[in-house]
Amino acid sequence: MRRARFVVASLFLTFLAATTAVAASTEDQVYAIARELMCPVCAGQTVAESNSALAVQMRQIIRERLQQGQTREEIIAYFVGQFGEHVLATPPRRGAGLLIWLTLPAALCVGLAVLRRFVRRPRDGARPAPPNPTPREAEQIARKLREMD
Amino acid sequence: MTSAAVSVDRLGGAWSALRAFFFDGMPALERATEALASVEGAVRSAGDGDRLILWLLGTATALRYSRRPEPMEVGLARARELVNVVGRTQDETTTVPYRTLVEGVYRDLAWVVPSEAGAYLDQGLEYTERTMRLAKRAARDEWLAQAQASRGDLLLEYATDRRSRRRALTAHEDARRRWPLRDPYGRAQAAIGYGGALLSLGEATRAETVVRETLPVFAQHDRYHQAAARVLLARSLYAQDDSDALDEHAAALALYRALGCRWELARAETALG
Repeated sequence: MRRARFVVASLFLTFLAATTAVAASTEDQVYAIARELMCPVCAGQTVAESNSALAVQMRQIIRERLQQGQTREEIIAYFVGQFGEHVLATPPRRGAGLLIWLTLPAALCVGLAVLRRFVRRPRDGARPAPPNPTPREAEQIARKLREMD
Repeated sequence: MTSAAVSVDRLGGAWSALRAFFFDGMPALERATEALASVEGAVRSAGDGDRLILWLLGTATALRYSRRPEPMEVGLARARELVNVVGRTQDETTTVPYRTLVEGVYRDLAWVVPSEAGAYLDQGLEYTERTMRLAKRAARDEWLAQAQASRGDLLLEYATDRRSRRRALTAHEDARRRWPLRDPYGRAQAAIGYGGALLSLGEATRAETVVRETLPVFAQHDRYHQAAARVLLARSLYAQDDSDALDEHAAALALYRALGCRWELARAETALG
């Protein structure tokens, strides 16, 4: 009897753990997709971050569509269809989006080149140190200093 | 191009225009309202529940900011329809964020139609009772935060004495504690109500601190809420006899003027008494 109870309890705990894991996994997927979408009415926040009614609804739609078996790409395409490409947190790598993708590395390269040139060239204010005086010059300087005293 | 594709583009355009309203002002809101109205038939006949919910949400929000009684009444009806649709197609507890939209429209109608303010606030506060119960049942901090902030806004409008203003502040304080830090924009919007509640109890310094925190959040993308925050900042400074209040007030009026929000401008003009 005691063994039967133990088996039932073990099965129950296993079932509970499995259910919780599935739920957690779905929520993780919901938030992973939500992080790829900008909230259309919020100031620079993703759907994962925002607490607005629209973001809440978008997360609900993601949840439902994942449960229906849709893929990440299908769900994102649905939102692009509803709100346009500016709903994407990362611009697509084509059209105007491609320009942004190409501009960033190009700007980085130009920045590095300028920095390298800047670092190599001595600054205007940093002039080389004067050479040491010859023994004769040193004597002249000492004499001048004595006269000043 | 198919008619479905056209309607999809228009709905997307409507949302873009609605987003632009908060920075560009009334012309964008008019574009959003027109675009939403033009797709109503297509959305309702398509039988896509998600699209209907997105359309109802956009329409209720756009009409709310018209600041004209009749469109706002239609907006209220759309917001209530939204709650019904979501409640029918999803779990009733998931209606909490949409119920706070209904409450927000009641609060705004009380502003816009002062002769009916009492009736709107009564209905709004009655509505919050169920919202609070559902939010507690859902036991999600982000929804409890929204429900408490919305209730705090209505309580503050209804308040006639210090005790009732204290109740409004308590609701706002609870909302602030629960509001997720990952959502600084929503938190900043709620902070305007919180600051108002603090100011109503004479806590001008705390109100100033709270509202100053919101300004960087609105600075880049949202001139509408930035104006509202500056009005509150001006009131907080004025209560402390700080002459900067006049500069802040002038900045808020300039923002409302630039946005073409005449109703908000008229209201802000008398904000310093």
